Amino acid sequence: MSIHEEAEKIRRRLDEENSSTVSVALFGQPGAGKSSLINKIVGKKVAAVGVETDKTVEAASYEVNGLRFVDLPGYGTKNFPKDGYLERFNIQQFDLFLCVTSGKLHQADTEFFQELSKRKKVCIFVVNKHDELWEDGVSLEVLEQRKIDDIRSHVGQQVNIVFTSCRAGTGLDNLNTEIRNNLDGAKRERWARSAKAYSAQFLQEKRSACDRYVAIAAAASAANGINPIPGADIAVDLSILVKLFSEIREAYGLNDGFLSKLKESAIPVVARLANNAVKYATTEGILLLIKNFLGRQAIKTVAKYIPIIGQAIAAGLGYAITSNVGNSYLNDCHELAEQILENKLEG
Amino acid sequence: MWWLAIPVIGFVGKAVFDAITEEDPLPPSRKTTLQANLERLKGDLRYETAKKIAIMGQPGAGKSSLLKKMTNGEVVPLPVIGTHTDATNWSSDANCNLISRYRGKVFVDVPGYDTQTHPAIDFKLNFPFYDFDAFLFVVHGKLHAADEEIFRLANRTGKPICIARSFLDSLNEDEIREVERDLRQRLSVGNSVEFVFFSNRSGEGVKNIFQIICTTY
Repeated sequence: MSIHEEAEKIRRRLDEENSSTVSVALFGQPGAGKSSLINKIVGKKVAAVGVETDKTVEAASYEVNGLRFVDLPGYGTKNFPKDGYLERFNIQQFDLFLCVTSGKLHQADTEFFQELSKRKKVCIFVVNKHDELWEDGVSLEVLEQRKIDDIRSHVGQQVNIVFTSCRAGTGLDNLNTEIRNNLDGAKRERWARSAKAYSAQFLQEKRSACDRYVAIAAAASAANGINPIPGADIAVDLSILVKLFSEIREAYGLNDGFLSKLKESAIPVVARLANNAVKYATTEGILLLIKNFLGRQAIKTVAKYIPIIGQAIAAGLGYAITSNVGNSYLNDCHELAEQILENKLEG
Repeated sequence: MWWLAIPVIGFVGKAVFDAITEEDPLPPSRKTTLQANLERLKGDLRYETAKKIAIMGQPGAGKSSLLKKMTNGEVVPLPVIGTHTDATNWSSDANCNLISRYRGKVFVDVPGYDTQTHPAIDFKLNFPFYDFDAFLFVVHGKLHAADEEIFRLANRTGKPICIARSFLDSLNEDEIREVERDLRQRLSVGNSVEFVFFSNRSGEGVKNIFQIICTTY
């Protein structure tokens, strides 16, 4: 394959990677905590939450980092009769459904699930407000098992059930992992990159998904060589790198506000990493980072991604530089995220 | 002999007329167990002289726990309590218990409406709202469409209603104010209607609700 073909292929690959989205639809009674759950899944406030009763007039849709969440309005209510509901909200478009419940199962939830089940759609049951699960003289384990049995007997299937509490912050790792397990291919990668990591294990998966993304973006940047690097015989596409770095920050939930707070952290390693994440975010910063790598003798390329990015591109000095630059930025952000998780730092 | 044909034509004509006008016989009216129980409730209440209080609300709002708690576990018979859907069940046994008593009052722990086996429509059509003296309306979380409809029907009787919001322990002070304001507005009730926050878990507010029931009603 010529380098031009490879370049074309890798550009397409990057486009695919950037455009892959995961669509999740949530349904359940008002007040079950659907909006809170969306915010917790992505790790930032995108959906408005409140105790006052809202009247959902249309499906509310939120999009974050290639994840799309649709809060479906009440099935079979006056404004949204059952007839035509599935077509109206085009339920085939969704990769996955979450049935969110906080009290007991309602008729509309059971019925809507049955429609989904007929159409072989994946649906995970989320029993939210786990902190409110209580009964005089009954242990939590027994109550959980009863809840599981109750839901399963109601819907007549061995459905997957996850307990969460947005208030106490429990069960969110289970939920994000369960959703991940029900996705595959590019969608699974997208989920691992964009959903918030609540455990070291999920963080590690995020890392692997980002690794692959870095390899592709670095290859595309090297193949697209439009910005000559001063003092070196290579040219790369800096705009791709800027976007890559911003995607990495997004993946780890490192927005500007949070980063400037982290820069002031009392933990030295956190402050240093946050400083790096900010410093190398711009075109100038990336150039600086590239120059750091140019001075070094040994530059490794990660062999396992060569089949994805192509032999010709992988052999070039441009890719060696961009992939190392990308990985070093990923390293910093990942380490920072580990620190955040470990020290329970909040944005 | 032509007149011999008249009765024949008559018979044929009647047969044709019958065939056209005959309607499909109505399917034998199959009442669900829930509908039968609601009817039985109406019959039972008619002969009651004691004050009759209906406890209504969404499934899982905490109605049964509240009844047990506010009567110190002395209401007879004790309500069925459970975190599973339809713990209080009127949909499978046509002879199930519908009425409980405590200190000369009758309490009806109505199953949570709007579940698969207890559709809200059955309560809207068949619940004997007018046979009660007071309502205890238990809400948890946000108001549902069924809540508004059931509340309206209870309110139309002109009998006193106490709104009781459960799970007080998961609300902070700001939320408490906001919830009361929002619920009053959504149910269009003024400040004359009693509104109590309570928690079955901590017991807070439970005594207060019982006092309102005893003194006001």
